[in-house]
Amino acid sequence: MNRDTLENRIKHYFVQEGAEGDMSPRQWGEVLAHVRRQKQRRWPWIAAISAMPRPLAAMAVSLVLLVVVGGVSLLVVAPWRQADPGATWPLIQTEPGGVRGPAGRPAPRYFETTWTTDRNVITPGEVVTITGTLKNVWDQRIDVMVFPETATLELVDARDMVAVPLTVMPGIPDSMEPGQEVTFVAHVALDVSARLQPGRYNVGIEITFAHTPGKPQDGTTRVGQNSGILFVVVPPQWALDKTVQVGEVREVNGIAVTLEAINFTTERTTIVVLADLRGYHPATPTAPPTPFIGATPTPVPTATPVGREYSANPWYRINGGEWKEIRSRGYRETPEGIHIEWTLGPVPSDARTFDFSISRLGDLVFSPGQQVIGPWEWSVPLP
Amino acid sequence: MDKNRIIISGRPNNEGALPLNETELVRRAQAGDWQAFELLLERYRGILARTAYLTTRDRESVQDIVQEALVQIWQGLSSYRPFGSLKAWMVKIVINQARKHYRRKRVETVPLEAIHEMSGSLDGPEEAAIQQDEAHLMRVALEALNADHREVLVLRYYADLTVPEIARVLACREGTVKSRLNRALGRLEEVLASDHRWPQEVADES
Repeated sequence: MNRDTLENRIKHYFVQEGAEGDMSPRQWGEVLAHVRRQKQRRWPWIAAISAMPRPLAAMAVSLVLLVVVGGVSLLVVAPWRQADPGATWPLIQTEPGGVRGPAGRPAPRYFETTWTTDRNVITPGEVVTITGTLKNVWDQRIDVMVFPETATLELVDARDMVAVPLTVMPGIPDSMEPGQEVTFVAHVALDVSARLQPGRYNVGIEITFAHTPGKPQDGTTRVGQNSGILFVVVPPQWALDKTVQVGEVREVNGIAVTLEAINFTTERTTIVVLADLRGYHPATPTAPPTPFIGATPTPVPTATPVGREYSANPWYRINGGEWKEIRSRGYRETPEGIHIEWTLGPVPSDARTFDFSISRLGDLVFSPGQQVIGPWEWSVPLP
Repeated sequence: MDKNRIIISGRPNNEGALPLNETELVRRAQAGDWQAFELLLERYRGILARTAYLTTRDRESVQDIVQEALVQIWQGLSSYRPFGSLKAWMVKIVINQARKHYRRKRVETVPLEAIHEMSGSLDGPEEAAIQQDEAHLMRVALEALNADHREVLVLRYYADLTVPEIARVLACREGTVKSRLNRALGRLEEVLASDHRWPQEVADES
């Protein structure tokens, strides 16, 4: 039997018969509605992990596991540790202004990269030029491509990511021989319409690569991401640059928190508070046991429960606008209590008020019931 | 930030219309733009539903299969990279869902010897007309194939995928795809050529 004829018959049959499988507009609408519902049901953090490239997602999951295991271990071990008021501040912050590589840890088996940016403080409307090198350190040829054709900007203090188009694509060849190194330049346009919120950003470009013949994709590497190379987007009005000493105390549920000062600079805003935890009672099985809001408190002898890990949920808003959560923080224990310091992006120089709120405060635990509910709230006029 | 995302990576053009370029649509959908995602699906709506139907031959389950496939497509879109075609990637997900379906329902194939009994068991003028129908004979012949063979024929001759694409969809070697195609076609030839009602221009060429 002639194969061509048979193949044509099969195609013809499939086209005719396949129409039996068509869905009506109503069915199609139901399907889309279902998918949309599923999309909305997904937890944001699952969505965030799914949105990451697989290697990054694996790292994120590993990190979460590490934090969980480490956190549990600390909670067990912590009560026997002694406070050290002179200890260095374990601040979680990365210095901005990084403009050089080697850049991070992008799959060292395959590539080595360096990475520089031409500026570290920019305003919307400007273009950041990224110059880097990519070297194939594997022993075989690797096919590479830049996809998606965007730079990923990670807003460090909010742990959020946005993608902006690359206006000039890096000149990276389709394939790289072993040992081959290319220098590339890419432009990231922070045009005004992008409406990037002010803050400290980490920038990266994703490169997809393949090294197995016939296999479409082996992985992705993110050049620049997590490299500690930051730049700061400042508001168009430029940034407020001054320190405001506040020194106001708010007491809620037996816990007094003092907003000591807010330091505004063109690179960041730093908020420092002192939390007096004498009214706070550890939730973990240490002495005293778990009383909380509504329970009879057992006094803690010092202002700072010893060697604990804390968490707090701070928020801020400018000119009475939308409340935004702050993630980046550090703290140190002192005889007066714990000093907590948060950093966020620069604030416009024409801001009139800066509101700050801590919605809850307590142990670094995962049950909301083991934290004290606030809010401790301040409104700071900006002259 | 969602708002920013839409503005940044799903920036509408001056007319506010979504682009027709598939790469751009994928990029926007990856950034969470539901409208772009719907537009992409609209392009492949037919092929996805028909592939589900042709591989399972179960009209009632098409909606369920496509529905579950689309959920997976949405969830997996962020990690999709444009090596190979989007169509092949989507079809792969539909095929996987269809496989789950016919594993559950245990769709039976028809023994070769039963084919002629089936096609010859019909009597009466109406049935005779059906028997003359080439499509009917093809359907019966295809039902004699096992699921793997039917699948590979649908992917090649309906979804119009290349052999390397089919290999990726079915997660097997290209050689395996070629041999499955060859066997499936051989099996069809065998069934059709042995049926005297198959149009002569086909049967005579065997």
